[in-house]
Amino acid sequence: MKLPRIRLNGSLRWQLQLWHGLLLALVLAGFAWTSWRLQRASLFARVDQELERHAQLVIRELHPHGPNQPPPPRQPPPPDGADLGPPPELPPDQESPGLPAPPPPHPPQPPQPPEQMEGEPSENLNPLLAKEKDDQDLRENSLYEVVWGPLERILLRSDSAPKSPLQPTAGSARSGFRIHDNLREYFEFLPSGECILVGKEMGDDFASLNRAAWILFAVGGAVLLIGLFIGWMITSGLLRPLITINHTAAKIAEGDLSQRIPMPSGENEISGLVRVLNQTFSRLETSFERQSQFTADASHELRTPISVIITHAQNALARERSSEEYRESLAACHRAAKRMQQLTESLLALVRVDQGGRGGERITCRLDQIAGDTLELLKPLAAELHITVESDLKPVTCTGNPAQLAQVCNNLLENAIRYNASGGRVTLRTSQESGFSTISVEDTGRGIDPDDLPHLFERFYRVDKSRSHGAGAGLGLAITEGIVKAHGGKIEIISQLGEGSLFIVKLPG
Amino acid sequence: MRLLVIEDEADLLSSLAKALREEGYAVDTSEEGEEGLYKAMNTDYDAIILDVMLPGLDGWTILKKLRAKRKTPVLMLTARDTSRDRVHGLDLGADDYLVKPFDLDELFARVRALIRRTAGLSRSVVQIGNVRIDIPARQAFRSGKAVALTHREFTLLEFLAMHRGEAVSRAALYEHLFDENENTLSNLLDVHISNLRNKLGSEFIMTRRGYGYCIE
Repeated sequence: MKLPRIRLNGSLRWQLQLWHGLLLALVLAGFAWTSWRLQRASLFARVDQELERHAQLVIRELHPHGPNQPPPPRQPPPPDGADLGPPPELPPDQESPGLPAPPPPHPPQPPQPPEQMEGEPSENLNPLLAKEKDDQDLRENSLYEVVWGPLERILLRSDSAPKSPLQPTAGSARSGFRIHDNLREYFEFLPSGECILVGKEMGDDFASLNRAAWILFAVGGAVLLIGLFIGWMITSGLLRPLITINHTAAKIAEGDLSQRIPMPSGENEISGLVRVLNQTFSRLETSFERQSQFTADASHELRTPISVIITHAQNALARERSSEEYRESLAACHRAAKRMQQLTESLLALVRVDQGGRGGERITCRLDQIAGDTLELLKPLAAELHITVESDLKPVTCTGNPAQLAQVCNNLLENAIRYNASGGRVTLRTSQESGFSTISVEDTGRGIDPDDLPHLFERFYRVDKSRSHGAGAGLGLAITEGIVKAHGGKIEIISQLGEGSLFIVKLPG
Repeated sequence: MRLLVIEDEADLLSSLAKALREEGYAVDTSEEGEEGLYKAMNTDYDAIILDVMLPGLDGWTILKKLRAKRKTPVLMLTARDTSRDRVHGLDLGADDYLVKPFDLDELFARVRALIRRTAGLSRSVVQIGNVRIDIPARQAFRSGKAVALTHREFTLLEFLAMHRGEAVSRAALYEHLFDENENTLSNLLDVHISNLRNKLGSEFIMTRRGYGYCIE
């Protein structure tokens, strides 16, 4: 079921609280109403049973030999003016001598109906005596009874009955219950023509029912309040990590990348989210640090050649110089500018590797030819440094950018030549090995210290901390690795300190 | 005044040495850490300009080792400019810190200030009797009139003035006035002293026989 979305200032807490409150109120109201109805129904069932039982009593009193017998003659109803009219009194001649006369409920005695009783007086005596006793019972039980004769004449009316009882109309039902003015009544039309009505004054019952309703309402309200409070606590507990996450993320957004979200206790969905977020923040921080380190290194590398240019130019301009001095200064400035040019080109190459990854046109190219061509270009440098170069180039193809692959070969070969021992040897090989197109460059140089190996591909990392043994700024291998990775390949290094190194580039075939 | 410059960038070193020599300093140079440290330990330089990134020993190590033996003022020259680097350098005993790229005039001023502070002078103009010595302008005045001095003569005057009241040995004067490459003739110092006396008054520089000279 999809709940309609209610927006309360976008607060998840209030949304949860609202839905939870509504649900709880609904459930409580349902329970309370059902409980009240049940109580009411059981009350009516009890009363109705009592009324029916009493009605049977009355019927039996009226027709001791069965309801089909004609009714015994009864005294006419008391005159209308008699408020709280006394129960029909027994005529004095019918009083049983053995029975003590009940004390009259009201001192003023209405005039006795003049009508003479007919029929069997012995038969009438007992019901009337019982009736007398009944009246007390009736009053105690808030019951009353009224009997109408065939012509809507009231044959019998207990003194607890309302002043002018409504005679039920003979509808479709011969008998039934009705309720009016706090009175519950049962009526029955007898086959002999009378209509009996038994009623009960239910004011007290209704009052207690009302009281029960109020109690239910109060208890329900209290439970609702407690429920809302507990709900609020639970929501707060659940939302606290979210609020913490929010605060931390805000700090990070302000630029404090070292912030981390504290792990909530226990393992749940939130802790999973926190872990993922913290990992993301760590990656971000590392990446930012690397970036700022890179920028610092790059500017550092540019500072030295700039210093050379500034001091030489300032010096040359300080006074009149000989042309020889000017030439020297210009040559120094030129060398510095060249270095800056190389550096900026390397930086651009790195940026391209970073950005594109898959940048540049990819074609199927002959790796052995690219490697061979690069080697040819570097032979003069090798000769200058007294390095012997050898090659074993087996035909090998791979998909890639020829210019970038040539740069890979160039960087590896130039390193092998420059950092070799004088009189050393560099061997270049290409081959197809277990699904990889490989280029390998082996040198007889000083090898790489195991401490340096993990940092070899870092930007601006130089095995020799000075810059005087070669022109590189420590970007060559970083660029090489970037290109190889962008081609989906990898570089392996096998190195023995003092004996030489072997760089193997493996590219997907 | 004799300086040592340790800097591995040859082009920068050459221009620095040239500019400092033109400022009248005797300048020794070194492109490499070990050699630089050796020179710094064994010569009484007036100041050392030290690059941080060096082959062999780096600048920090040189500074640490030097401070164990000598109090020579050191100006660190580096491309690293974070305050952490600066604090690190100053805590290790560097006297000043200059970030590349720098202005030559600023470098000169800082070197002058270093030397002056080491000599215990708070101002760069020194008045001795009727002679006034303006160190930044490298100019001497006698009774308010400018006196023409050569670089070497001025440096000699400056050195003696900074050690006013002390007898300075001939060996010390040779050590502070001439760099490692100069073929110093034994009487060169006597010639300079005699010239100064002619220009500033015969009583201005006293002779400590068998030892050296002194400005009272």
